[in-house]
Amino acid sequence: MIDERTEAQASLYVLGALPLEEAREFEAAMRGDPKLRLLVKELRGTAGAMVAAFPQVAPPPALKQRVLTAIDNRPAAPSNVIALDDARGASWAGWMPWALAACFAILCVALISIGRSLREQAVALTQQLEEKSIQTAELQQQLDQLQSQADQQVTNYQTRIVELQKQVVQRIEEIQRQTAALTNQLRQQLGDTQRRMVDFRNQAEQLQREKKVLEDVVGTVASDRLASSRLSILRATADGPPGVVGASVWSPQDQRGLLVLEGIPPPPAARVYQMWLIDPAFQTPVSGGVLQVGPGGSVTLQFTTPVRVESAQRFAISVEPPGGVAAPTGKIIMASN
Amino acid sequence: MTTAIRQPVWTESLPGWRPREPVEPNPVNIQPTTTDDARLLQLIAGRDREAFSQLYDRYSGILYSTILRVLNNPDEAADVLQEVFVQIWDKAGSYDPGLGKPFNWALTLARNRAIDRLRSLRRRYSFIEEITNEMESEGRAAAAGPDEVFTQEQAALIRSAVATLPLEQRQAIEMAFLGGLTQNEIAASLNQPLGTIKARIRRGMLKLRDDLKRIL
Repeated sequence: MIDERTEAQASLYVLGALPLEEAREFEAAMRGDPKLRLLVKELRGTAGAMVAAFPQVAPPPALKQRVLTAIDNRPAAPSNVIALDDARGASWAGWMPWALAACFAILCVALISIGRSLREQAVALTQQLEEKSIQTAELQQQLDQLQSQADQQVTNYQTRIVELQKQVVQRIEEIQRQTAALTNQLRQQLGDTQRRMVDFRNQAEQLQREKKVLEDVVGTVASDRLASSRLSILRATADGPPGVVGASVWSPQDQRGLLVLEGIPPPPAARVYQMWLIDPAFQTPVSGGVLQVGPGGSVTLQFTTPVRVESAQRFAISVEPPGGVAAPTGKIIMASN
Repeated sequence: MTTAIRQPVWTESLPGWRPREPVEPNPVNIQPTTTDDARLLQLIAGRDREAFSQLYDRYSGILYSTILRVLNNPDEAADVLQEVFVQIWDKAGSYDPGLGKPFNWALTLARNRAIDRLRSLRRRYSFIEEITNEMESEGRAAAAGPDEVFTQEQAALIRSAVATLPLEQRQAIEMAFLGGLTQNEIAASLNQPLGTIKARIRRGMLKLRDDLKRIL
């Protein structure tokens, strides 16, 4: 590719408008650049063609004869006839110059012929050189086109890479969002599990305490009475205090029983806890007595009933007025199944 | 057919100037090729007077018109044309086909001679007025008839291509080619930056080359 500055120089050069020094530099550059020589040749032809646009005027008719006369008066070419001195004698010294002149003439003719041949060869070689220069310029043009295509491909690949990078970033962000959501979900599940473990632990502790009170109750019953006794676990109802556990045993043969409670708070002011036995033979529960809550919320009550109870199905504890009542009137805070 | 050549008004006051007589262009000869012209130059280099006469018939009209365009004086133009053809007679052997067509070689000789003469006479064209009037007279120029170097069709194409050049590009090109001014002199004469002048000449020459590619 010839840049614009060089194109301008070439244009100015063929128009004779370059300063002398710059014209010399341009000629030096042109000698080593076939494409530049081709451009100058084209521009020189352009300048030559431009004169056809001028109004055409013929020179004076007499001028041609003046010109022909002028060239006739120019010094003869080396090939022209050489003036000979005809004052020579007929001796060998006389014909020798003629022989030499003849040889010289033959030599001149041969040289002219060789010169023409060489000139024609030079013309042919110049034409070949021009063709090669044009081919070189065409190849350079093809190379430029290929380079342009390669540049375009690179641009396309770069664009594709940028798109892929964007997609990768978007995918990473999506994965991060999903990871954060999963982490939150796992944290919630972990919290739930931990809460359930606390519940299970509490339940285990409750069962452990129930087991202990049961063992306390069972320990008070003689082994020969145990098979006919009614043994029940008491748990707090919805109105009862949380955390309290209890067990009760009733011997129909002996008509007496034992109630053991752990963790029960003191009764409300001006109220007492009262135990009840539920036997289907009676329409109302049968009182087992009023409880005395000891230190630490423990209760151990050996009780009897005012009437004979043969089949105590369930046991219950209610909140009643001081001294107790004949039939329950307050809230049931504990009951067996 | 006669061709009216406009003279810049100020040249009428120059010593030795006289109105130009309209002259007929040379009749159209056969259309020799570049190869024929190169052959003629080869013969001229061998001092072939007949070949020289043929080349004179082919080139004298267009070279004279170009020289006249530069000098604006028929006597001076005829004088320079004679010098140019004598130079062709002497230097035909130095013609290098690698540098361009024979006509372009001869045109370069003629243009350089004319510019030298112009400088020696210290005359200058009134370019702007010349270009304006040239545009007005293009119809006459086109009707002037074909010359010996370019066919009528080629000459018409060239005139059309030159006419479509922007005025400032034609102006800069003609000041260089016909006025013999350097790039700096043109810039100073037109009161324009040197870069502007270079760009105008480059664009104008490349456009002409592209427009004329099929006949060059």
